[in-house]
Amino acid sequence: MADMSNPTPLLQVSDLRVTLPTARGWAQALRGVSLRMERGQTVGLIGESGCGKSLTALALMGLLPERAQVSGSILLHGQELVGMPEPQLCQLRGARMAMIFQEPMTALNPLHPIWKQIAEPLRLHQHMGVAEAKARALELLDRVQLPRARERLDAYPHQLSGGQRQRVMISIALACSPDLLIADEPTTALDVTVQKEVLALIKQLVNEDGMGLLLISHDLGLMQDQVDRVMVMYGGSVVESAATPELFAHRAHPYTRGLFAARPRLGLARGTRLTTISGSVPELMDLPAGCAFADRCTLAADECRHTPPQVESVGLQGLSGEPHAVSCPRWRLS
Amino acid sequence: MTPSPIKPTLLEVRQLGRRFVMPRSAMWGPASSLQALSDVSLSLKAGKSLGIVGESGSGKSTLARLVMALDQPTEGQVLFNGVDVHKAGTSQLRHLRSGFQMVFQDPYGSLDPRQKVLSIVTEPIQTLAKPSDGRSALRERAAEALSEVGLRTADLDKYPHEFSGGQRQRIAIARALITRPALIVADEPVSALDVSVQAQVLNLMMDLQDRYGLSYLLVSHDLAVVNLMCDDVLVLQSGQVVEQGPAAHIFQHAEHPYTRMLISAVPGTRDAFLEQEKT
Amino acid sequence: MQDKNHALRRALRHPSFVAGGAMVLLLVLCAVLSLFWSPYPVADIDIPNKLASPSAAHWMGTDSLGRDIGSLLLVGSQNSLLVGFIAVGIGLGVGVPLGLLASARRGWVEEVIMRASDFTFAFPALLSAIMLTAIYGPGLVVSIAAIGIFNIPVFARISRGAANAVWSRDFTAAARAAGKGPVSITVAHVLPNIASVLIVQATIQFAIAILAEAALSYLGLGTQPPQPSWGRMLNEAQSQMFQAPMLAVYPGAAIALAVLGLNLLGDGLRDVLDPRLARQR
Repeated sequence: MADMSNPTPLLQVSDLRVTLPTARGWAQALRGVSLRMERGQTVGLIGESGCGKSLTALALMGLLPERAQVSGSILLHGQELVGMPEPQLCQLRGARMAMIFQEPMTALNPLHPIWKQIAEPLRLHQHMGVAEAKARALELLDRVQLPRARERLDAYPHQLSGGQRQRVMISIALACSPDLLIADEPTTALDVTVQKEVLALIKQLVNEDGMGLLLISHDLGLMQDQVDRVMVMYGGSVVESAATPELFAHRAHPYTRGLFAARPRLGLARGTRLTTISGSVPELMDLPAGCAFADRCTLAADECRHTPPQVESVGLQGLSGEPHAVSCPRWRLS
Repeated sequence: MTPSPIKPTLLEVRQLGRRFVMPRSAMWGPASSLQALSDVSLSLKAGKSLGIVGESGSGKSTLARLVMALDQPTEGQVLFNGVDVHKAGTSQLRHLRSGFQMVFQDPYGSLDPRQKVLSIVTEPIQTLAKPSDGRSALRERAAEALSEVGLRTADLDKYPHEFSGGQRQRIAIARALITRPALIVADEPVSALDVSVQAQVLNLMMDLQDRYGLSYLLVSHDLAVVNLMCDDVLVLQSGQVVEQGPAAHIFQHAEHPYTRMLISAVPGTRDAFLEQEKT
Repeated sequence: MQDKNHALRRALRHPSFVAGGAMVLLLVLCAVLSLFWSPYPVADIDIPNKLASPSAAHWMGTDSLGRDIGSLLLVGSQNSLLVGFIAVGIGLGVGVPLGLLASARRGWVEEVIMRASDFTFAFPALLSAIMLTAIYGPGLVVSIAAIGIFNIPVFARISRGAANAVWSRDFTAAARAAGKGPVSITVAHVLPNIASVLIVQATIQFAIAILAEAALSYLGLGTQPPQPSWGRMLNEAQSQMFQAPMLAVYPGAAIALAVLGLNLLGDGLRDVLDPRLARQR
């Protein structure tokens, strides 16, 4: 819920644009992404490969490749992150904003024991001594419900299972009690049953600490259970954004509708053909000048290819007062 | 292309077991072993499809490889069209292989990056069922296979890296189809693909099934995909069968607690029928 | 086919590849040229003119027997190239099939081949050369044999490692499912995919072979007189160190440039051949 009494939101991103060098020249990878998040809010970014969701996360953390060009504004508690010098960004990373990655095996250092990796942000940002950091690491491992945490402190990543490694990653992220947690496909590499546990854990911790959570995934079902608000991305821009129940009840953007229709669901009868979105995601360089989805859209008109779409509001405010926005002038036609 | 007439029971697996000996962790004493599969039995009729579901470590990929005779079992048998594939002689097995082919999970690893699509797609018929009229006939068959999966003849002269993940999976399917097999073993064929691409490939697989009466042995961790594509389902946990039977029945009235846990763990399943199951 | 043109154009933009390629090309041209012509015949001894400084007649001067250094260097390059080609050829011809066999068969075959190559590795090339010389007498052929034998385990090891990585990929399983046997798969799938690794290693081994030949000739175990050799020129220069220090510089520089050129070419090839495939998605 938009908190009017606190004018400085946790995170305010305005018209974020990122250009990357590719083999074929400079390509606009993010085309004006805007979002606003308060403390305690959970936002989901959903989209397929190449839509820019991971790039958005990296841009927020300041982890884009050197040659990337960033414009727009990212305000964390009112502090501008775009253009911030690296040493200052380093102070924020791990301390005020933290990230959980998709592949815990590659995100953890195989040569360091677990406690050392958890202690790293503590020693860096809070200047803790080794003994104190190790004790705090144990507390954190208990908090993420890692079984037999005391024994596992000295273990190495390869000695743990995928789900356990992800718990370790979460405890590293939470070590300094950040205000913003970004989770980039945190459970994609895990089994379905473990996925459920890890997601429940993240939800619980986020609630307890009142953090803001930005959850990135390609899985619609996940979004339904985990976040207050969903933003659908395609071709580097946000095409639709709404409160979760509202989005699942009334989808407006043709791409969102296509995405929902294309999922195989347990309730379908055997042999049902899925509704597909024609064509495939074009390369960044080949996106049309106007709406990124224009070439595949059943509702597209000529103007869609040339003019970037206006953001419109979808009728009702929904249950929580969050606006339901869609980047499509023709959405009513479907 | 399948050598002999198809019997009603296309594939039969009897008490299949596979034990792996692990690399030694100590100098002395016996090396430890891992029982990847034990006592797995199943039966697949021509034209029907069976889904194998399980999580990582369940042994489902091992099962797929054993069925494809890419690995030797430690116990049990795999019978394709009544013939034991692991006891067959080299040339007999080669003949049999034209009847069952495989589609792999990784669209980037299952195609040789150094070969053109033409040689990739015709690989099964190069060894198994060489047409007597040489290169042009081979090319024609390849073009035919590509058009069936929605690709163009011009694509024959390209390399895999020129295609997207979904297109590569189509090439892999074309390769699997070229000998007109009766059975296709698909190991997580769409897991590495985006949702919209997944839908296209699944639709293609269903179309091919209708058109040619194919049987699929579909290995997947995704219950929704298995529900869509398969008549029957077999649930594996740690190498053992915990439940098997008609898919529709199992997904609605699962008895084994592990199966129920798998079903309930699917994110966002608030569909009506799950509510039905609880009442 | 436009793929190959594209690759060539990219290669030509790579500084290591171009620099190394140019130097190696120069070396090859020198060797080929020297088969037909050199400024002075290398057998011509001209004692009155010995240890002359560089002049219009002799661009690099003469050695202790009056022979033109330029001609000696030119003809000496033949040796270096010959050793390089044959020694690497032996390594590729024997080592690669052994490595591929080890990778395809695994089990005890792999163990035997790898242990045998470890054993051969353990013997320093120099020691084997000395041993062979003691049995068969010194000469170019013996030194090539010693260096060539040492190359076998290098290529066996590297091709087995690279081949193992290829066997673990699904397309080899697909080939087996298509009915191909291990020999057929090795030739059709494994070899093309490890080719780039082998090519790069070959350029490195070439450089090592040149150095090894120079070392052996320096010790008097390699090429025998009157055939010129860069290594022996270094040896002879040693005794003339106070009268004509420059005598050591020319052959030393020639060796250094040849080795540098090959290493640069190898680096360039590594970048040109591998990431092209890795970068595409």
